[in-house]
Amino acid sequence: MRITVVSGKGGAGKTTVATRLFRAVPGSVLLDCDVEEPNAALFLNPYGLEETTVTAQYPVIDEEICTHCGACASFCAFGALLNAKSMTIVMAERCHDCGGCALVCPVSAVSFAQRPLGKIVKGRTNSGVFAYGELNVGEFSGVKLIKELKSSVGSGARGGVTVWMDGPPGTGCAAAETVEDSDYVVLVTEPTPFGASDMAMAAEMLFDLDIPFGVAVNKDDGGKSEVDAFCREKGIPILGRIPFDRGLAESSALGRLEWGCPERDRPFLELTEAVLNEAKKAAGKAVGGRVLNGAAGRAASGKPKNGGKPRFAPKHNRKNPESMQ
Amino acid sequence: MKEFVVISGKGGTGKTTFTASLAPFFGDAVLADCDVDAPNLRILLNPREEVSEDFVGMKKAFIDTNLCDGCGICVEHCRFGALSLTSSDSKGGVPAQGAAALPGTAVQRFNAKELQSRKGEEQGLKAKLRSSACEGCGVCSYVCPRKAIVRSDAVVGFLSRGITPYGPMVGARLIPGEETSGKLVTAVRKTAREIAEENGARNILVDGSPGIGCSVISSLTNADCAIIVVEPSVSAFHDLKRLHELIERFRIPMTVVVNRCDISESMTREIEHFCRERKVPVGMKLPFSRDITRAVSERLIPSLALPDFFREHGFEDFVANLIEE
Repeated sequence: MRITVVSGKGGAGKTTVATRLFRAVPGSVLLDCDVEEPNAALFLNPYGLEETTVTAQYPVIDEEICTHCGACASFCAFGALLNAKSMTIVMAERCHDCGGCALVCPVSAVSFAQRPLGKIVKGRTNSGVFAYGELNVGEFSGVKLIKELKSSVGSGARGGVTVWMDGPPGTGCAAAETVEDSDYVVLVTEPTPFGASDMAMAAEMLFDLDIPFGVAVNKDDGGKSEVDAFCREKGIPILGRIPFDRGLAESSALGRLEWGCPERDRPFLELTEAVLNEAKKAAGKAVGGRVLNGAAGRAASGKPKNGGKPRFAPKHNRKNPESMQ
Repeated sequence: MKEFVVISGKGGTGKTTFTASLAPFFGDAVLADCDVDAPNLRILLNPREEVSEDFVGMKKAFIDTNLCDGCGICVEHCRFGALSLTSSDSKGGVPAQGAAALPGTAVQRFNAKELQSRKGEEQGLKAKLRSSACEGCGVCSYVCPRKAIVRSDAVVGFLSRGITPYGPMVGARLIPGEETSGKLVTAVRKTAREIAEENGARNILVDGSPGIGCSVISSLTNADCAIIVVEPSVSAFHDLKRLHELIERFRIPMTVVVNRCDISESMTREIEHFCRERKVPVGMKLPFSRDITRAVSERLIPSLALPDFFREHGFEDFVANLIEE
């Protein structure tokens, strides 16, 4: 079962929650998918590290064959190719690796080379396997790295292992890539107007993806907030509340997990139980009737791999009068 | 005209709170929120007379299902996994989610490998696009033998402008799950610059996004000064190092603000040491205060709600130095 922790708002407590969920379930796997700023390793001290470089493909033009017709440059939607009189200039970091240039080249002058994009680091901890991705500084997008991280580690999700994923903040393409294929999502928020606003955007993304989720309220001060009102209105379960705790903030600042202190562990253990229960319920519901999402749904139904892909509501189409879909 | 960008690496260190606190003290400035997938500046600055427009950030594929004969060539060529063949009869107008959510609807999808046999034409399959995965490269429309796919403008977000008591404000909102946040950030900054030129404003104050990826890179390009809001924790320090490396490449002057500096005095010292070695000034240190959280919860600008607290910690000098530089 794949369970992802996201938040919309940065600093709401994704990594705090994800590392503690991981510690609470021995033998589970944790993937830190916040590849722009991966932090979970700072709290887990993994050992036996193995590094793999992840590369991105970019086109190389064979100038001996190239006739400088400009077909590749005019096709490229990303401005990665520039047709000059005597040579074709390639701007590798702009390339999205669509393969279009090779397709349109009339003389087959395009081949592909690899450049490093980042790395995947895999290690062990006392609770289980842990891995993270780290995007090279200066790179634009970590989406490919997240894809590779998800497919290279934690494929045990199909065999009943719980795989936790710590997501990036926001609701952009990296967050969408991380949650895609998840069986359940824990949306961490804080009871502030910022937390509520960002949670609403993350909820919109999850509704669109049709992935079941619940909310964990971090830094809870006991008061009623917009977060509660929103969850009630939308019928989103509140999975747990973690009280505001300055002491915990102080030890987190130093990278201490402080696991093993019963007082502090309790809200996280209760949260873990609630998350696992809700995730199982959601998987059960999916098997019961409608089209399935995620790995558990596929496993339960025996459908082909793509049979349960989450469906995005094609908003653009709705808004675009030219849409023909 | 000078453009100041507030960024952080790690999310939740107080970028937006600090940007809003700066706004009333910046004189004639244009304010811009470039955190397009978690836009919160407006919550504190409360712009009036807001007008919003669609943001067309990219082109996407649109499939004419009447022309599609289900040959699957597009699915084979799409490198982003955005296309699949489906047997569901969506009758052209029904959104993908709607068709999929109907109980008992037999939706079958095939990935590229399963298409080896390619019996699409016999089974009445049609190509279907998962719009958010589409990067608009145009390969599918190029390879489609029936010319059933066109590339067309897609709305991926909204750009808004309004008036606050502290100057005009430009904001944006990315549709959750979309990419091209970098382009939207660039559009926000361009609009802010136009307004500043029209009004003869001296400064532009930009609230940035967390991370070091495309949105951050886009908000740094051609900026005049980066204000880095950091907190004294292993996570934020780790993220600061990566962000510093990125900003160095742009050769932009930077200044660091240590927020909640008393959460860990030893980490604050480490951050100050790091900054000293790299000749980055630490412009200001602000201790943790529940009053700031309370002010934000009441949608008040902390520097106005708690003037003594801010003055005590050198806020006015900090702003004066910043603007005069």
